[in-house]
Amino acid sequence: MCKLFDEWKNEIKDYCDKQGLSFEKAEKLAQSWNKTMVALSYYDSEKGKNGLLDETPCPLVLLIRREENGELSFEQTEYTAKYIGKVS
Amino acid sequence: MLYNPVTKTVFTPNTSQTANLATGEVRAEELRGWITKNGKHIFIGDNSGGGAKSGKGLDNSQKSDIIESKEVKTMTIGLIDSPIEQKHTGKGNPNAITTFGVELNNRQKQLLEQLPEFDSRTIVAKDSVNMSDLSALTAETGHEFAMFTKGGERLIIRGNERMVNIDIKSAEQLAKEGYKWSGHTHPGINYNCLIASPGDREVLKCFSQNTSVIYNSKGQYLTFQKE
Repeated sequence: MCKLFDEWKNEIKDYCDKQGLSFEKAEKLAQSWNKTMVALSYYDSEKGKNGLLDETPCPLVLLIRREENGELSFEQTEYTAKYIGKVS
Repeated sequence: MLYNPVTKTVFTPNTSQTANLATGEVRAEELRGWITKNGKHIFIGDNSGGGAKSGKGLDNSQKSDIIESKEVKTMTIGLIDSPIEQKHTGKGNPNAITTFGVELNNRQKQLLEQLPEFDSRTIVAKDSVNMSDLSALTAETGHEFAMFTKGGERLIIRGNERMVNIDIKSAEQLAKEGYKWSGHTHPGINYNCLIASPGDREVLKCFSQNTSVIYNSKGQYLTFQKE
């Protein structure tokens, strides 16, 4: 788990609760990050056997960003409900 | 860059120059004061009057909310002779290449000459290239590039719009030879293209390191890790 996700864990959980999303599913997703952002994507370990010859990206599920005003902002994608929706 | 519609002047903070769009006059100034940008008050110049972030001590009664400046010298020069952005051309900057179509810098041009086509490979000194350079090459060509590092050398491999010619077997071979996977690029300008593919994650498993990076055509990056 990346440090940022760990630091933001409580805020992410609050957001998931309010949006009807599963934090438990979210924290199991693959994580990518930089200094101000964490991207959660769905990684299918059955794929990728061709290495860099197949660069089809993992579906981006949730984008979490620390804004300049200190607030976390969340950006859902077409895959959010599919992979971390509570009813999926 | 800040535009004052009243005086028809453009101020460039990083060059400290003010250009009058009506007359073509350019003034170099020592600037010190508050500016208002995106609703935030920012202090420019000597910061002895308070922190740039705090905004404390700002006199809201001031009439000019654009800028307060102390002029030390004024010179009139032609815009063509000395463009405002002369010192900051953006050459070699991935975002400037993508957004404004500026050139690669000379070092990047030389590197690209060594990588003329898909699967071209070159080994260069470690301190002569970084991931931002690969991002610039991607901005220029629309192709992926991958970089592997061993000691003081870097192996650069050119891909195409969709792939780099590194399968699992060749990744294992590179790891066996002592290389680390410094990172690679994905053509594009949004955050979706910064997401690792399953293939990226499988290749990372071949190396002893835990993380690698993906840069896009604007120089933005995300780090990804082994799952």
